[in-house]
Amino acid sequence: MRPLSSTLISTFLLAAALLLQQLPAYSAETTLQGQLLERGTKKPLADVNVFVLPAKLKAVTDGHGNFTVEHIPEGEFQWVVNLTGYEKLEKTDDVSSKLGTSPRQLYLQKSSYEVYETTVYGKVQKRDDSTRSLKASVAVALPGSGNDPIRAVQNLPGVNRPAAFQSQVIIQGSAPQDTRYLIDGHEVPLIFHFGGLSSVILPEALDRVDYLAAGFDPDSGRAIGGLIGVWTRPPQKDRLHGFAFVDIFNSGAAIEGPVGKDSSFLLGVRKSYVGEVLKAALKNNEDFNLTAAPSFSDVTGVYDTRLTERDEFRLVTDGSIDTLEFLLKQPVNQDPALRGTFYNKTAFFRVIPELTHRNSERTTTRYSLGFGRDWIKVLLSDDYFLLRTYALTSRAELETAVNPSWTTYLGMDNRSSWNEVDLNLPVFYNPGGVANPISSGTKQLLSVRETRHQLGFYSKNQVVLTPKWSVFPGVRLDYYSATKETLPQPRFSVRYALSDSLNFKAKGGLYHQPPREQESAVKVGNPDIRSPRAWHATFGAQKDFREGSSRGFNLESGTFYRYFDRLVVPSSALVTRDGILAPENYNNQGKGRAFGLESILRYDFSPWTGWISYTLSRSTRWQPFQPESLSQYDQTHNLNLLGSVDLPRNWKIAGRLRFVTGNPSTPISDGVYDADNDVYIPVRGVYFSERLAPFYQLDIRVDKKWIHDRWILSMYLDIQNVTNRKNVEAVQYSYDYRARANVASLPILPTLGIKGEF
Amino acid sequence: MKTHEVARRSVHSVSMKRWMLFIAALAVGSNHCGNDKLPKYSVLDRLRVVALIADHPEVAPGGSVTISPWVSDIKGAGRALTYAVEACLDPGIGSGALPSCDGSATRVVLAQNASVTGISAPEYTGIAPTFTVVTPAAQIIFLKRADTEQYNGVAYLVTYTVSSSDGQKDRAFRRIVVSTRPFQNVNPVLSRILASGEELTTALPPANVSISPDVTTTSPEDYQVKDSNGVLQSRKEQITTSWLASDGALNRSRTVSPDLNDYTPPTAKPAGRGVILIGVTRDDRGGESVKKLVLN
Repeated sequence: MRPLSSTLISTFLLAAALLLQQLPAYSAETTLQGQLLERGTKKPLADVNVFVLPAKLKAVTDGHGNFTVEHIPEGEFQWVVNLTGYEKLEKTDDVSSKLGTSPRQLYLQKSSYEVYETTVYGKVQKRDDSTRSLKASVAVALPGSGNDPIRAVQNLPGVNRPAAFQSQVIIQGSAPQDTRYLIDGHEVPLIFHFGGLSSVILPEALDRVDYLAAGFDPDSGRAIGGLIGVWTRPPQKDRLHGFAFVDIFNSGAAIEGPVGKDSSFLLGVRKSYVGEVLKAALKNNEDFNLTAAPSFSDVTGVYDTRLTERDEFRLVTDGSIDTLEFLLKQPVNQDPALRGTFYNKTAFFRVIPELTHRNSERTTTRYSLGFGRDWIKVLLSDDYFLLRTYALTSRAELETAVNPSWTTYLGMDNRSSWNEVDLNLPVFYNPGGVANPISSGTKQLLSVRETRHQLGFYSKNQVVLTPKWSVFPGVRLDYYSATKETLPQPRFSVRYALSDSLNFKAKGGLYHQPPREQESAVKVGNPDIRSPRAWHATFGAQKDFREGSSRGFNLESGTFYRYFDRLVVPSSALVTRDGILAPENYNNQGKGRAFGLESILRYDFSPWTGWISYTLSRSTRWQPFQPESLSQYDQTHNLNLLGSVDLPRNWKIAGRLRFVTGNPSTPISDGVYDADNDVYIPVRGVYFSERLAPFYQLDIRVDKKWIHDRWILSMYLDIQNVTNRKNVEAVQYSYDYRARANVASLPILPTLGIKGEF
Repeated sequence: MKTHEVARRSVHSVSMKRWMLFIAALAVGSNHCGNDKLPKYSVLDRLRVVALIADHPEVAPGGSVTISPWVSDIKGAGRALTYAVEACLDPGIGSGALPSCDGSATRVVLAQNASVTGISAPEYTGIAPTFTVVTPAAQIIFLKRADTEQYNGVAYLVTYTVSSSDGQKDRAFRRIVVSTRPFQNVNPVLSRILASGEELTTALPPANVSISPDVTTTSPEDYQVKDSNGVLQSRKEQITTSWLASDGALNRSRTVSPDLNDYTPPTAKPAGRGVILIGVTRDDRGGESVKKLVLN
């Protein structure tokens, strides 16, 4: 018995010893895999250290955020991730939990999220020194911009404050019609929906908004004021993204994501319902029926694909429609012609294919087309204005780095339009910004079919002479079929870099723009009209006080001078044309100048950021028998203070304070009774010899984000005119122009919006 | 509470309407819209030309026209008034030129510093001395004018200025249409002013009434215009009536037939005179007709 029992005991002890030796090794260590993602956006985070505590284990994420941690001990442990710009992650885990050894997903929350976080993308574009760009994702969150990055341009120096409900951008004392609007380099008829409430393209589809002021390069033209260019971004390729939003004016949604390996798409729509609110408000008004609420809609699409290693193709589409209809049951007191049905529809679409071909390391070619249609329909009782246009724009550019210090661009920038115009309207006469009653205007009945071509060719060069000196000579040649003019326009700029953080620049050139269609039309305009032109000159400096740091000040300051001549002005004279006495309607006798000093000081002391922009300017106009007077768009002082602070828990508060000199206005000294039409004709004093009261406004915006692992919920409250100040937007006269009263701007206007994105 | 709510909604509605009109005015490029604080068109309270009635609003070249100016100086207490009349080729008012014959080679002075008679106490509102205008011959008024324009009509301008001895002044003008049109425009006929369907004559209504013009059925004429290509297009006149009152309140300044207007009489009759209520009917082509009532 003893040997057996001894053997059994020995065997048991050996087995137990072996088992005990094995057990700790099996039960105390586990290998876990996982993926580290940004919370809310699900963006993979690469090259990030992932720690397991207290075992002091570490893994590093790969390009897709994946990681593997070995030898994780039994029992509770903590995931710890500490990354700059993100909140520290400390998450308790246990391999014996329900998850077992299945892969983990860790979400790291950013310290601060941008307004539409899923759409932040960068895109390098060539720029010139006169361009100021606003990153769309940043600009959209500026207070008072109504969630629209293009409206935010009004915060930049040199951009005039437009009057309420005006939907144009006025640049450095030029006129609204002197600004062109481009989507991906192709002209569109308007950039804002009716009343300037919102731009015509989905803000989330934009990469940036460019604002080109005095002295812009020759690759842009046909504008003596400046250009507003919006640039779409490539849709995201990593996964499917989307968002939906709703606010008091409009709502919308968009979706984007990959198509195969090399392609991606974005499709977004918006629809307004602001008119429904007005319609309800006016429901019981017996004189005024809003038969169709003012509304706007737009749709934006972007398709991006890499065709070959050298070829990239993008297709951008944008369509916009605005409608407004109301019924004035009785004539307006001041003008009997204002009665009956008023209907306005403005619509356009553009299809913009773009091909970029890299010929070689040093040469790139870009081709793009913009094809579309424009419709404008205005009905006022029996009067009408109908415009239907087919528009074709084409751009091509060859970029060549001739040598390391000389890059040249050769290109063309053309526009053709096929117009159909039908109108039955009185002459609209509005010199000095004072309109004659349309009842007193001569009725014009016209039906026109015409084709117009505007051809543009340019050469632009960047030459680095020394490490400090660079010059940018260029020339643009335009041909306008409407005026049969061929117009060479030299442009030149020079830059001197005193140091890495301080540089100076000077620019100048000649600029032309074609007259507007109605100005050069045979019957309603003046077929002998020529294209207005302007000379631009600017000098400026830029100093970056950050000296390599991410915090600090950045100052840009400069002067501009513009001299305008051959400006188109309305004329009431009668002239002999082909032996027949006819109204001249317009002539080229307008001249003017605009000059000023503009500065922008940006500051970034995170979490505080903002800028101060200030413009001191003067803009005047004159013509024969009219002394030099202020222009309608003169604003001596234009000060914008913007500031924002990122608060904990994804709160953000921003404010904007504006002070702008009141707009000039023309006094009316008397009225003469038109007994035929029962209206008074205004007798104007010296044009723009009075000013409205200065404009002050404080806007505040509050943003809050709720970050979930896989999606983000955002809310914003944008309150315009917080102090409810009654700024004067216009002067209104009695029926006989013997008494006057001010028209105040909109009262306090809060806008609440909510948005979900994944 | 209910009244307060109605008042609040009314104020809101007026405010919204003003903004919508402002938006509409911007849309059509005009700068006119209503303001409750500004003087109202329909209130007759100053020296004012109410209408310039031509016996023939449209004539052939060389035709003569007699013009009857309707003038009101209801608060003038019978002060002395003078008038001046000039005529000339239209300098292009429809294209924006000032309605004046100053500097015109065709200027004709028809009256200067002449006394206004005929608008008598106690209302001082009525027809001032008439005058006759002879339009230029075809070789003058149609010189360098296109056939289309000759057919549709070339305007001959008549300016009329009435001044008071204490320096107040009201300037007015009208056009005489000179054309080759075979059927020339005639004035509409405003025969009566109706109050709730019955003729309003001399009795001041005791309370708010709906008023309307009684315009003859033939007043809105059919006519033709030539478009820029010389093609004839048919049109029909639209009759509009302007309303003025010395006392009380008119809901609307103008009505388009057959719409009604509301007139609220004054709570107390004015001392020493009656209430003046005037309707001026126009056909959009220079044809006019006036009906004046003195209500007691």
